[in-house]
Amino acid sequence: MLSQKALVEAQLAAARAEARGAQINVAEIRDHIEVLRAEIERAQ
Amino acid sequence: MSRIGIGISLSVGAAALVALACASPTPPALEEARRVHSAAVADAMVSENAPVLLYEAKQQLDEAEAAWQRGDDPAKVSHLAYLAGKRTEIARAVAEKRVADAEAGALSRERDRTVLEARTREVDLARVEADQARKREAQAQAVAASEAERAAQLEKELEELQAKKTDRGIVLTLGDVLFDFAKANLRSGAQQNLYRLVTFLREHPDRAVLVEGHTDSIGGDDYNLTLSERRADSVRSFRASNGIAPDRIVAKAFGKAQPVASNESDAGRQQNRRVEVVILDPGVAAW
Repeated sequence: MLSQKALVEAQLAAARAEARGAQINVAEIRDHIEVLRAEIERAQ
Repeated sequence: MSRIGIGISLSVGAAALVALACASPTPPALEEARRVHSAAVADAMVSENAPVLLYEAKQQLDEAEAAWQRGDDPAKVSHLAYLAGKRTEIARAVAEKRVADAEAGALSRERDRTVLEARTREVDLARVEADQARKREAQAQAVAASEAERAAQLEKELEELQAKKTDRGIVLTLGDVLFDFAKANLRSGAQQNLYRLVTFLREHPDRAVLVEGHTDSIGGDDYNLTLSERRADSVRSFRASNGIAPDRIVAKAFGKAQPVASNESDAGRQQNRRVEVVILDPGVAAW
């Protein structure tokens, strides 16, 4: 029982870490797009 | 006891166990697992993006429900319910990752388009700046060429007027070819020379002139001073009548006071009978 519990908890921790990583990736791409748009605005 | 009797006894016993289980309060872990799973099923983000994991969590929940229905050890029921709850949470986390990945994919494409747009604008801007620089360069070259042409023209005009550059400015000496002896009115032939000077002044409106009249030593001082003054005025009037603003021309009479040659000979006196036109440097007033 203990090993099952530890296993599922580890799986959940890994899944949450991956989700968080993916969300950070989204935020970074958004930031990059904002920087690029600001560059375009300055260039106009 | 007959077989029928034994069967009945077992059935009654099982029913009693189920009834006992149902009568007991639902384990909190099972209630929590049900709540978490119901919320996940109702959430389209989870049900659409992690349907298999959600199904597996439901199977785990069904296993917990069955254990409870059977009246299994409450610790076992809670354990199975706990696993079902965690599996549901795993399904939610995986669904969140898939949503984020999909969003990242769309944003990456948008970023690529934006990068392309930014670089295109950079190129356009560089092109515009290069065009402007070329135009400025062309204008500067045109100005330089114009100034060079103007300088060359000035040299040519001064050469035609037989002028000399001095500390006072450019001095044009008009000999006694302008006037008859003891006269102050211009000879008709002299006007040709003066037209060239008028043309020069028209083309160089930033220049002013001094017209200085000189005589030889023949005659009294007053006479020569008056004559040189009248001669200088004749030249000044000629220019004024040809469109040169009067404030650009000042006439001065020196009489015989500033000879440039000996007055002992005809040749020397001829040199002394003269009008000197001083073309002042640009911006210098005649007054």
